[in-house]
Amino acid sequence: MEKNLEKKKKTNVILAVVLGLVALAFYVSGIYLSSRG
Amino acid sequence: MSTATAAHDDHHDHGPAKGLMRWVTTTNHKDIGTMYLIFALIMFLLGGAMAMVIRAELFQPGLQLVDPQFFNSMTTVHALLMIFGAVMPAFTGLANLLIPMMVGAPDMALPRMNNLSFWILPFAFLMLLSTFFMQGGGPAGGWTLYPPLVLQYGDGFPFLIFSIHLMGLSSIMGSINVIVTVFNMRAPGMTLMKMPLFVWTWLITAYLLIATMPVLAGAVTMLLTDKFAGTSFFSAAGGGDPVMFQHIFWFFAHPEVYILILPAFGIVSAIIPTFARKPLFGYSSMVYATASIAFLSFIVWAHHMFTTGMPVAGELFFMYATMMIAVPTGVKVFNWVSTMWKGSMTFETPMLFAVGFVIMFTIGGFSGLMLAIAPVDFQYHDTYFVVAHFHYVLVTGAIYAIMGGAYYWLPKWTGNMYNEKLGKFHFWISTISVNVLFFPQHFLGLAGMPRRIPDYAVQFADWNLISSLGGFVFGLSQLLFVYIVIKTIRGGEKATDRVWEGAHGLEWTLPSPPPYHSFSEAPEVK
Repeated sequence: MEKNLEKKKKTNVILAVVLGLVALAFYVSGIYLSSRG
Repeated sequence: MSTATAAHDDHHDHGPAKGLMRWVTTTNHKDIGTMYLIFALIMFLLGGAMAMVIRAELFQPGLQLVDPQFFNSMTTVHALLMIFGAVMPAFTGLANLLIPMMVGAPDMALPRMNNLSFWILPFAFLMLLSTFFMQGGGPAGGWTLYPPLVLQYGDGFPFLIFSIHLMGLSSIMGSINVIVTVFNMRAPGMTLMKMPLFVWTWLITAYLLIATMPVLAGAVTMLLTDKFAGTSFFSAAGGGDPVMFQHIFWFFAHPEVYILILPAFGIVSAIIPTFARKPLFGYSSMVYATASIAFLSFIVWAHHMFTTGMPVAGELFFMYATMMIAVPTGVKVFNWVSTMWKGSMTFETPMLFAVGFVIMFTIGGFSGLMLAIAPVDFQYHDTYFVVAHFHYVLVTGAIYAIMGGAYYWLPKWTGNMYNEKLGKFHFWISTISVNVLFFPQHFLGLAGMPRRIPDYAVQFADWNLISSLGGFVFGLSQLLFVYIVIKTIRGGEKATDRVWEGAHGLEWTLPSPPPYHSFSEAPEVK
């Protein structure tokens, strides 16, 4: 159980970082596309 | 079990910290969920007070109580508070309280980020509300923040923008938490297609938030640079285009509309089977319908902009795409009705709110279909018909689902039953008054009364008076809800673990109130 939770914690962080990067990509691409009119 | 592990377990079994610091430093999903719900209730009452100012001013034609600039601030900030401060945090609160219990997890996947997501919010809204004390007053250009009007706003402008950035950041972090929890923290045997619909609708909502909140953040950042850094994203004089802002804004704000309603669908899908004592009709079609609505929500944004002038092909595309949303929504309404069909129904307060939701949300859906018809939207656009439409879907839709959910799960959270008689009275007084408040606004809109005006032609006087009276009763009756909730938290008849005999799901296997750490051992789901 403990070991399993430790492993889950790592996956949690990886998933969170990936989703955060997706959000950032939407932010940057929104501004970039707007700047091109 | 070895001694070392036992000692470790002891460490994990601690209860909440004492005093105020418990709430500041907590990483517990139930504490954070509770704080979200309390915050949402405060914002609901504050936004409601602003609505009362609006309805008081509109009680009679002519300028009575407030000056027009302040009136416009009231409409703008009422919307911002209700959307970002009341409905969204209420759903996030419910997600925090319920998702770990529903999927059999010990807590949310990222508890520290959870704490941060919540504690950003009070500062964001303090920042927004502080603008009322600045040169130029509160924001008054409408919650849609259209340039060039919003760029003429006074000293509060950067505060408005940064507060929206903070709200967005909080929502994005909350959504990441939900997605990671659902994907990685489910109990063994809890497959995706076994999850309660509330979890499903929230999972899809979280994707919508991650895709659209950054777009809003981008749009308001560009407003900021247009105002202070000499860019001309939205200024025609510098080669930009103000209508482009509307496209970007509604690319965010249309999915936002579904962010405000999908979790409500999940709540209603939990309540109706319980009180009809039948399993939900068409579970998998509910999941696919929710996903379809989410997909369609990205390709309908320009139906908010039919009158800005666009090619006929564009108008037709957005018109038909919008109408297509009626199909999965119809599937949902059909499934709820079919769940009730030949069920052993009883009408406790949560069920009353759920049935009220199904009927009145559908009224709002139908007026939405009317608005989707491009040629007739030219008459309805920016009239009270639009105001009536979105208040039916948001008040008798989203808010009713939240209230129903609060009554449904309150005995589980507090361990005490609420007063059923008072709950039912709250439902009936709210339902009568909310219809007196919003139904006449359809007539006003069809007759041509524009939105966001503090004064109007005398021909609109009668329906405005009736609408305002309904508004005052509806506003006051919500104080009864606050009383019922506080009374239930403080005591009352003890609730059983299952609370409702027809209730199914992991959260009902826990004691009422649940222990501080919901599931220390993952439950087995068959």
